[in-house]
Amino acid sequence: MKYFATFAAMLLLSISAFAQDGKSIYNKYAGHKKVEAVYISSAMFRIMGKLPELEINDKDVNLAPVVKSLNGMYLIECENRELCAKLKADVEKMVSAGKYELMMEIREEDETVRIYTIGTEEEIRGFVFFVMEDDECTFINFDGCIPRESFEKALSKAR
Amino acid sequence: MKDIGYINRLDDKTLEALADDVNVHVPRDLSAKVNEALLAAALSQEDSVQTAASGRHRYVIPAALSFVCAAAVFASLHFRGYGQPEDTFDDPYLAYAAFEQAFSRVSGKVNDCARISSAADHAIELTSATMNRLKINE
Repeated sequence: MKYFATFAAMLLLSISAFAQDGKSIYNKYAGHKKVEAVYISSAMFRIMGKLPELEINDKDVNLAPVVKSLNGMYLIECENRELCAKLKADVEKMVSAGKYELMMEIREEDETVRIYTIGTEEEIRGFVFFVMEDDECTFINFDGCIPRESFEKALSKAR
Repeated sequence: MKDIGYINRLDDKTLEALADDVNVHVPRDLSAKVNEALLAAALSQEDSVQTAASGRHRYVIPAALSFVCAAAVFASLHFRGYGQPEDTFDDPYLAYAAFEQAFSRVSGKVNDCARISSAADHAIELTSATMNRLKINE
């Protein structure tokens, strides 16, 4: 019985590390004042993938392979300085717990951009984009089994 | 010394005769010893009752702790909003527009980074060429 109690206590202590993912961050911050939140589910991505024609911008970009392989998109745009600080901490917990790899970081005068990915050489299972400015921040998380080549090609062309 | 079994088998007349026999020596402290034995028996019975009760109590605290931990885990999961959120858009075209906008934003920053790193590549190439020329001149 005491071993079970010890196990339950350890589970409680570790729960904060396991709880951080795109969904939990979205649920935590959506609905707050000065926060814009967008969620697209896997079901919606499947419907989007079956649309007879996707309205693609005038450049030669094929987002169809990316759309069809996504399980979810979470977007949080926050214009509250305090919430931005908390969101930044939660994103850092998420990437460290999920063992994301820092793909790139751009530091400019008033803006820091960090991009994290997790996956293999063939596919990307998670993508996190986080921009921190003075009074606002943006968090975008793509979830799925995205072919890396298609994703990188689309990123380089879609602008 | 006769044992209890032997004494129980004796009839009443034999017991009376034995009681009247003044030659049988009764130890002086027999009563004290009997009382002591009865007291010890009573105390050991009380101890075994207490041990059984404390044995039951031993499990109460860990069980309560486990329950509190499980309740805290459940509350943590519940209040962190572990439920599945709802789609922001019902219209797939609007959803696609939002996705495309987000993707374009990411793409813009990635391309900015690529542009900065390609400018650094140019600087590295220039430095390397300068160093090679200096080696040739030496």
